[in-house]
Amino acid sequence: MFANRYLTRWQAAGLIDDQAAQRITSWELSQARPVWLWALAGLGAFAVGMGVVAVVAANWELIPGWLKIAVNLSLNAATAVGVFVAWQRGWEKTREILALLLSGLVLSGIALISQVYQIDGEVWQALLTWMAICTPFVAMVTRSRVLGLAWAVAATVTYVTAIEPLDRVLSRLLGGEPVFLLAWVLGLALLAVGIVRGWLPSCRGQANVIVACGVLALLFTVFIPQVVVLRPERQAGTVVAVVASLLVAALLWWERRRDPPGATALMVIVLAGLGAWLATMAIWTMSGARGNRFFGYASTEPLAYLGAALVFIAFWGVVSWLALRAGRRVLFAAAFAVIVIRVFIMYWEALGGLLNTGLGLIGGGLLCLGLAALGWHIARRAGAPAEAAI
Amino acid sequence: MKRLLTAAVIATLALPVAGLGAMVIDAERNQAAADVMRVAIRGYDPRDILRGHYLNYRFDWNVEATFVGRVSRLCVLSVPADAPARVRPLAEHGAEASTEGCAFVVNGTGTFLAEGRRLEPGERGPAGRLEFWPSGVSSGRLYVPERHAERLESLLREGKVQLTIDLAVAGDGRVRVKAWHIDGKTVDAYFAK
Repeated sequence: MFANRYLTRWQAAGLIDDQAAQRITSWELSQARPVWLWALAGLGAFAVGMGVVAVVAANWELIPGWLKIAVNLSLNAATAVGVFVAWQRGWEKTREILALLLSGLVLSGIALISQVYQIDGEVWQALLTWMAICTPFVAMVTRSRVLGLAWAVAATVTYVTAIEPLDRVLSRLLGGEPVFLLAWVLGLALLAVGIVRGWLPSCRGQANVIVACGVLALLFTVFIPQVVVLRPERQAGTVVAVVASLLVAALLWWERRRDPPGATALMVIVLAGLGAWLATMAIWTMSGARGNRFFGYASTEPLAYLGAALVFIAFWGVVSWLALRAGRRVLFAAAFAVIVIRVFIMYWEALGGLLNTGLGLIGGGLLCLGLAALGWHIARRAGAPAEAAI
Repeated sequence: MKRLLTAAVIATLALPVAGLGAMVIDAERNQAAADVMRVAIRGYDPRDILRGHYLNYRFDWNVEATFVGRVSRLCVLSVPADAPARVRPLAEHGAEASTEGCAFVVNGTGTFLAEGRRLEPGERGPAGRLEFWPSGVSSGRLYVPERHAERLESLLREGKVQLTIDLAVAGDGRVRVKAWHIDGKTVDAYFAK
């Protein structure tokens, strides 16, 4: 049905002739699968699985602790054997699914041991143990993007849950508040892991996903100095963050030998992001800002406010330019939308009172419409997408 | 090269069972070798003492204080078999940090807070309340079997029962919850009576 609708459109537009449409329809029919039967079978299997889980859960407290742990360890061992067999015989999908299952079993095993022995610890400790156990086999046997994404998300969640003790340790080691270092280093680490992972040709797809997660983390953190006024009294954390950024930039410089446009774009994002952080913190420090809330700052320190907003807009301008250059229209549109929203917020906050707010909304809305039209025009002029660099 | 790669894959796939097995052995070893002390506890949040299947609690230390202020360790003075252990707060530095006379020491963080009341007959040192969390016990939650949760909650609300925890204290001063009791009995034994 879906294909037919497009076939009719493409035929009407003169993109394909009747014979091509007929051939496509015949091929699609030959590829058709009994989806409803599969769905019914899947529903049955799901119901059986849920039934087993419910029966076990109902008798959970009656099952001795040693038996629960023994069953969990046996399931871990059996799944590990399954992963090995799938890896040896080249069953890619089975290998990836079993590896994902094994990761879940390890996490459930840690939770089970904690429950049976009443081991009372922080969440990040359990997650770190989980990552330490699972990362080696994920790195050795998996190749899929899904596993790459799952690993990057798990690493991010582990990092976020450990942020408080990390903050304490770094504050003691470096002095002051290491907010910049803590926020920035996750994206850098994911980026470095993704790049190194990509050195194995069979892991490129997975590596690209990890790199994309790193880029997302870096892009997201550039929002932080916009909403929190950061003025670290001691700069040791900033220095470490700068050194880490330069090391990753050096790695990307090296990577240019393999993928010049991609590595260059990533290097620009790292350095531009670093520049945006440093410039914003310098603006807050030089303006002698007090408190740590950004909102409402427009009325007390309009120049500092404007400066910080312009730094942010300039950074996202760089991102949108890179996206346009790489032919990534969606990314370009997203980056452009961020700029437009920031301009809109700046415009709105700069005006106080109901009448001015109303006028500000009208003016800001018109500005948004104008910028959206500009973005549309630029995106159309960019023409056919080039090879993706980011 | 192929053999080396196969060996590496086997090693990484053996890690889950090896790691989980090591956690079990470590937990068993710690429980077997550790000193055990009993501490009284009380339900913490009267609105929802049993949050889901977990009991939220605070320690109710049987304390013999010598100072008011920050406490970095506890000196366990006596460990009766069926009663809460007697403890003395230890400061980080100075004379109040001495471990002389201690059966063993529990690491953690806390404060001895002064209270403006008269000392009870036989009571020594400053009057007050000890708030101390041993290292290794951070959440203040205990798993309660679902079949007993409702009855336990009503007993706690009525204040009819005394809860205690047996803490297994390792050589490094960190603790783990070994067992917990209602009026000196295990949960199942208490509700079976």
